[in-house]
Amino acid sequence: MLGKSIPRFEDSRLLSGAGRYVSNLRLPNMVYAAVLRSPHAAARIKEIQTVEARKIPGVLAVWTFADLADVLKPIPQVAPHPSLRPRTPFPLVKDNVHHEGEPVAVVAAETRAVCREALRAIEVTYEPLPAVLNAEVGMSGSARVHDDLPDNIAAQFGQETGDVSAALADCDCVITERFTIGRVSSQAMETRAVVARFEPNSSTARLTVWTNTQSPHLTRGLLSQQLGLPRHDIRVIAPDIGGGFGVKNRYYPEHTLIPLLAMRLGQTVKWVESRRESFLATYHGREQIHDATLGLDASGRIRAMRDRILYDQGAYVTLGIVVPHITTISVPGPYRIPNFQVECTCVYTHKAPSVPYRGAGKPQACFVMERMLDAAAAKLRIDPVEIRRRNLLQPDDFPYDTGLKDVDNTQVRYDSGNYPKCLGGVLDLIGHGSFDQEKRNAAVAGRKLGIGISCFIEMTGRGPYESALVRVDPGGRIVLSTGLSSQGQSHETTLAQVCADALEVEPSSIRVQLGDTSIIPLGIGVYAARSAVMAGNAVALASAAVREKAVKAAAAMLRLPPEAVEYAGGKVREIAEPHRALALGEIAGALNSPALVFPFPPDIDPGLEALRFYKSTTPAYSNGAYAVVVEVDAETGYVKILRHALVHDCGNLINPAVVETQMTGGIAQGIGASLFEELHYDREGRVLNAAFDTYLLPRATDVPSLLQSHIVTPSPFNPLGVKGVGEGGTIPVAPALAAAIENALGISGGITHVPMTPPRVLSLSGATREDCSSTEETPVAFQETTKVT
Amino acid sequence: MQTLTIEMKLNGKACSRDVPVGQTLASLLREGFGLSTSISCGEGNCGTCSVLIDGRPVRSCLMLAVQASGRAVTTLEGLTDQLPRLQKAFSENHAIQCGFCAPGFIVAAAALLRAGSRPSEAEIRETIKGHLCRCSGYSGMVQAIQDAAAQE
Repeated sequence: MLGKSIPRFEDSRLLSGAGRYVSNLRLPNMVYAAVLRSPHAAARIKEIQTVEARKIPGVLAVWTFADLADVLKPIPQVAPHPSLRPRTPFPLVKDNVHHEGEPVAVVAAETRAVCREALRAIEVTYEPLPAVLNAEVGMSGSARVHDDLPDNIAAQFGQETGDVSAALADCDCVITERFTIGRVSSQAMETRAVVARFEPNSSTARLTVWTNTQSPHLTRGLLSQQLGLPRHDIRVIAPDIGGGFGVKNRYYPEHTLIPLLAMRLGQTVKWVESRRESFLATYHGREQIHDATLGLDASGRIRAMRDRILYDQGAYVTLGIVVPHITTISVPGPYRIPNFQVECTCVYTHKAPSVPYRGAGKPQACFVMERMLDAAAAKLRIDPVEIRRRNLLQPDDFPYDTGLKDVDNTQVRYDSGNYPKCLGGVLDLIGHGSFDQEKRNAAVAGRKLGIGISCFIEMTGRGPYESALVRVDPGGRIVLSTGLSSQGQSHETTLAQVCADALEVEPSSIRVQLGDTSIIPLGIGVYAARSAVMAGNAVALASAAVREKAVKAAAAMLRLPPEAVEYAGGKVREIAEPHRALALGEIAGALNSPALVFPFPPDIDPGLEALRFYKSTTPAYSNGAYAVVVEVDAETGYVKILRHALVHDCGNLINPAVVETQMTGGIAQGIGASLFEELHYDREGRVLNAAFDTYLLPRATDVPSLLQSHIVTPSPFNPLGVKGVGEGGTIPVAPALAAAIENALGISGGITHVPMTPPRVLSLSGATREDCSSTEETPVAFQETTKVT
Repeated sequence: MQTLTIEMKLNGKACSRDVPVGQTLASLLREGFGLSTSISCGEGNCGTCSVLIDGRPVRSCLMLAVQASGRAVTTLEGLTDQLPRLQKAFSENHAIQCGFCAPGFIVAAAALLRAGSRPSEAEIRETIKGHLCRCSGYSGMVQAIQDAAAQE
């Protein structure tokens, strides 16, 4: 069952309009909530008048911080780090606003229309303050985001392998460049939503919260902290989720506010975020500045690299230094870099917090590394493919210790792979050998074609653990529960395949339960491309335990020693007389019968079921190579992708079609972030493009079908030999597109900013390399700073 | 808010409702009839809430419910002719992931196929470019719509 592209079990529901999204949830006795948000990024709240709002018929509650001062606590920072000076928000602004869209008041009313009316009736007097909108400026301390932090620095950290200064002094070629990566919004098609119900006299969990979170158990833990209820008195349900991409893994102010309304009003309360709110209040991602230096010998082999990173943290830290730290350890990527030094400074600004968004720090690192290699190739007059070949790690290098430490202080150790094979494969797939001719032919017709390639790795399968519970009932029906929720990753199908493989039954016979803290005691959740690695292996362990238990119990039932029976095809049979067999349901019935028809052997507990945890601190590293051919419209700056290709290695594939669609979708998001997507701010820190008509997402005419193939190098670090794929597609796109655009325009260097929007491309087109440096939006072309021979 | 009585044919059945004049069709279909029509942007940019009005795709978040009076409104649930083969083709091609946008895409695909056409890949992409999907990268949907057209 592993390795088969079976159709998804979730499709029968999702393709018939029966998706169970929180935003579609309708419950009895339900009222609605809405949030008043600050129109300012930096301001002091002088006064809030709610009297008029409270008078409106149908209004049930109008709350500001003052109304809840006795219960509100800052939202916890969940990933402490010694270098961190954490500042986290209260669910409602206490004194000062720190980013546009921060919640200032919450209302509840009988209808949504009355909610909107109440919001309009609240009068807030703000005293605007100077806004910090740029990490570099923020460090100068000209204005403060948090009053007690004069330099606005949230964290500073770094590490070094070897001796970078000495190695750079010995290099034949040294290149320095500054790269800037724009701030983006993940924009899942379903916005955030919370529905809460409190039943004070319930015999089970009193508080039930439906919310589209990627991690129901983690959300439950934070709800417990925020509301003062015991963790196990809360049930969190995360049904079908309309896209997550990392930002739905965070705990937001509404997670506290909506349950508080439900508890105090005694009514079920529903809140659904508007699209504009999702741009302003759902957390952002990606924005970084890199000052990188790469040193090579004359043959193009990397000797040393230094990268100094500025991370625009936004107003608050809710997940420690996780994203920028991932960037720091991801810069070397698939290459051997004997001397490497990285420093990172995280700076508070008056923007919505920056958190993991699909790729979580890795796309930025890949952009920097690949762009530096392209610059080095141009400088040394080496083919871009060849310079990569000379620096890629080789198959016999694994396991490979990078010498770097992960955020949890474990060694960053790559598990396995064949990086050169992926690169070679993608060149064939894209038609690299005949591209020069194609480009010349197009040039005759006045068309500007370009090709770009990039290599990447993807750290996947973060620990610490994931859970799986496999249960068989007397009817032989198998129910599998995990701590995951689903944002579209096909877990109901792939986890059933893993279980079916172990139990030798049809995947369709297994019902997979997800997204509910009541179905399994403990769990972590869905992020960091961890489901296949962590939950997949947990399911394999639990399934194997059920199988083992079935054999032991069946042997006792058949009055045979365990070695006289065997497991085959979902049954346990006597080896000598295979017709003497017991089905899983029969064994389950015997193991859980009120009548003592079968005396339990002393070492067997009741029930044919097993709860297992897969624990790991060793991520699995997927890898791949991506190539793209573009046509650049010199009149408009529009970049049309003519074709693109991926050769990828994620170890053993559970369901190849699921892997391919994950990669295709990830690359589509990569295209959006590379060519269109960036949040723009006015001077006061207000987002200028908080809508789909100004913040452009890729559409069907922007993303051609992806040519892709997979090679398989199993991970030796986990029993299934799998590696994750959730984030990978977003990683390699920007540098390949940058190289392709430069190639089309006949320039080398110049593209140092993501996204490469039409105006930016236009500013490059027609320009020579020299005058690129004089254009406003495109920083200085690559330049050599040191040459010692 | 003032209400008006509207009469429309919803998924093949005549029905009558009193609706507030300011209510959108999307809201009526969701709240009043419990249908699958989902709202993603509410601003007419994403196509998620698409329904057919007299056979033509329309964004129901931009249309007032009262404007549907006297018209035939079809949501995913009412696409009896094309739905099975579209569902089959979408499933076989792993066309969707989270599925939130799916009702809008399927409605658009049904309108395209209702014309009895055998659309090219480019025509399909042109047709669905008014719809946003954040998960799939569109390729599976394009192939699915082609496959469904071939089964006609």
